[in-house]
Amino acid sequence: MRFLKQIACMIAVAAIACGCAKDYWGEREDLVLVEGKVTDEDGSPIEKIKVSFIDEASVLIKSVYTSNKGEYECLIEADRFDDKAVISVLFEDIDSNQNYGLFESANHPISSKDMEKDEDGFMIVNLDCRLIRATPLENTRQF
Amino acid sequence: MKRNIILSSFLILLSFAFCSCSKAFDVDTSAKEGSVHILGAVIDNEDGRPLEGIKITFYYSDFGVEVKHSAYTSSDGSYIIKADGVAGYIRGAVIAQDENGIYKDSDVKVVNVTWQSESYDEKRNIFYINDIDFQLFK
Repeated sequence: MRFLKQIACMIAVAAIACGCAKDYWGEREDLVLVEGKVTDEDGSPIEKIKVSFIDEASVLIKSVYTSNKGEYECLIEADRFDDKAVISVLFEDIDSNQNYGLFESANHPISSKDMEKDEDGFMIVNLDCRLIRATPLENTRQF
Repeated sequence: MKRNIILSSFLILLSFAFCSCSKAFDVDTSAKEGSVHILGAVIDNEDGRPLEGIKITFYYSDFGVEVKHSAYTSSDGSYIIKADGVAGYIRGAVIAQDENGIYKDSDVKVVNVTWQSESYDEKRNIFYINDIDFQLFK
């Protein structure tokens, strides 16, 4: 009997040790991933575009920025999309003529209708944005 | 008593062997290619508030060619860098820079991509490096 207890204890320890590997995506169950790419008229990625998520009461939820590949992503609580709520996604060029010139701002509303499930069953909204140049590109692109 | 100690030791060894058995059949991880995700946050050294719009750059050498991936901190000070096409063992560096010039550049933090341990998500082929946090000084 004592021997069985010892084995059960060891199996439990082994099971805990094996379960330590963290499932990084498991924390996303109550969140919606909004992601996309920001490009210019030629399809080239634009870095450091500010992407702001604003609710219907005009309250800022979160701001993120595009990477050097023009990509952004933001995790938003799923309940913010309840009751047909619309979230405004505002794309702004905040660094003037740096990072490929100055671009006009753009605003795209998203709602639960834009959601789809990814291969892991999590909710995702894909929102790409093409920005229009506000001033002619005079300077050479920065690489 | 002695028998119990021997039995316990044997079972612990058996447990570790059981847990690591899948690793024993791994392919050569030095030849592995996948994505590296680096996550962290940036705060002000004085008051601890999160800093927005700070540029984070991850760079490493790929057969003598410097590769750079960069991202910016969000309104809550957090960031994620997603570097695709990273191959083999990588010893890279991460730095935080304020392009507005209010804060000094951070110290460089060295990161290692090993494609092993619990940081590696085999299903998605992503190696995660968490908690690369910075405190910036004015």
